[in-house]
Amino acid sequence: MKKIILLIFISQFGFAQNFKTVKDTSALKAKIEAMSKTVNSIESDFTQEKNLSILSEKIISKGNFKFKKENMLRWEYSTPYKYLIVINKDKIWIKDDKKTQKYDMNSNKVFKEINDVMMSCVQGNIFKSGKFKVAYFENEKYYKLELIPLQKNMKESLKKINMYFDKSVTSVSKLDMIEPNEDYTTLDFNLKSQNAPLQDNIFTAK
Amino acid sequence: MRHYRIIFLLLSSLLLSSCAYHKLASYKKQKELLITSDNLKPIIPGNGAIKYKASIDVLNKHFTGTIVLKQTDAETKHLVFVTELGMRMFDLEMKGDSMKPVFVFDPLNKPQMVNALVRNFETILLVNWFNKNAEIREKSGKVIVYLKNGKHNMFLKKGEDLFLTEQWVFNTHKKESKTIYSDNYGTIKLKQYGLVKLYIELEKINE
Repeated sequence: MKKIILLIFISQFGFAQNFKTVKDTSALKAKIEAMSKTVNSIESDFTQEKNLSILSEKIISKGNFKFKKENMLRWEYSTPYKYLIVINKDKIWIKDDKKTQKYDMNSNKVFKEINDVMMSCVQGNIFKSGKFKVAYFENEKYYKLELIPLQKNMKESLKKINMYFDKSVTSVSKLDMIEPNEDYTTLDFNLKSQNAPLQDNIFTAK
Repeated sequence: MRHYRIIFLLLSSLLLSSCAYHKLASYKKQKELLITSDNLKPIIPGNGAIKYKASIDVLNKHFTGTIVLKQTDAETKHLVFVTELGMRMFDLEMKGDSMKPVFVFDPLNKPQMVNALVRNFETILLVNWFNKNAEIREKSGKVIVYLKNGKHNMFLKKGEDLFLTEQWVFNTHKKESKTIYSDNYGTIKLKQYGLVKLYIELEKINE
C-alpha cells in the first residue's frame, strides 16, 4: 500500500516537474500571435469540469463551440442540459429552456468582461490583454501559459488561468481557471476544424 | 382612480391570502408528531451529493445553473449554486435549523436578495421542520401537517411514502410562499408572494 502511495506521489511530482520555464518566450509569443492571425474560424467540442473543493464534487458538462472572426462565438452546452450563449459583435444572447435574453455588450460591464475573456481564450491571445502577469512553461506535450490577474476585481474571483497549447501551437488544448478558494474549472477542447466556412446566421439566437 | 384600483387589488390579495390560511387552519388537530427522517424524507441525502438544474427569478433577474446539495459532516450541509459557465454564485451552509450564506458573488450580495434566497431555500429544504413537534391535522379525510415556527405558520401535505407534495408558509396569516414537490423531489417549484417576487424551479439531474 505504501509503495502504491509512493508511486502515485512520484508520478504526480514527476508531472509537475515536467513543466519547465520556456527559454525563448519571444519565439513562443510569435507562434501564438501567428496562430491568432491565421485562424479565422474554429469549431471544437469541449468538456467542462467544475471542481468544488469544499464539497469534493464535480459538475461535468459537455458541448460545442464555434468561433468566427471578428468577435462571433456560439458556445453551446448539450449535457447535462441545453444552454446557449451567442456573441455577435456587441450583442450577446443567452438562451435556456425557458427564456432567450438579449443584451447589449456596451451597456453591461460584466458581459463585456465575459466577452473579452471568452474571445481571447478561444483565440489564445489572452496574454496580450495586459490584464495578466504571464509566465511561460513547456513539457514534451504542451506549452503552458500561467496567467495571474492584475486587476483587483478580477483577482476576487480568479486566482490563476493555465492555458495549454499543443507543441505545434495550432490551437488551445486546455484551460484551467483556478479561483481564490481553490475551486477550479477545467475546459478540455477537442478541435474539429479550423478555418472551415461558418455561416453568419448561426451567430444569433431566437 | 388609479389609487382606488391599487387599494382594491391589495385588499383582494390580502383577503385571498387570508382565506388560504383560514382554509388550512380549519383542519382539526389529531395528534403531535416529532418530525424526523423516519416520517419525512429529507431532500439532502445523508451521503453523497445531489444536483438540480436550477432556475431562479428574483427582483427582475433571471439566473440559471446547477445547484449541488451535500452533507459535508455530521452537522453541516451545503447548497452551492454554480452557473453554466462554472461561476460560483452562492454557497449556503446549513447547521441544525439555521442557514447562513458563506459566499455570495459580489454583484448579488445585496441584503434584500440574500435574505430572499436564504429564506426560500430554508423553506424548500425543510430546514425548520426537523426535530420539531408538529401537529397532524385532519378534515373530511384529508390530512396535513402543521408547524408553528415563530410568527410563521407552516403546513405540509404528504404524498406516497415519506415524500411531501406541497408546503405553504404564512407570515402570521399572510401567504408567504407555496412549494410544490413532485416525482419524489424530482422537481421542486417555489413561488414567493408579496412585494419581492421570487420563483425557484429545480429539476433533478440524474447522472
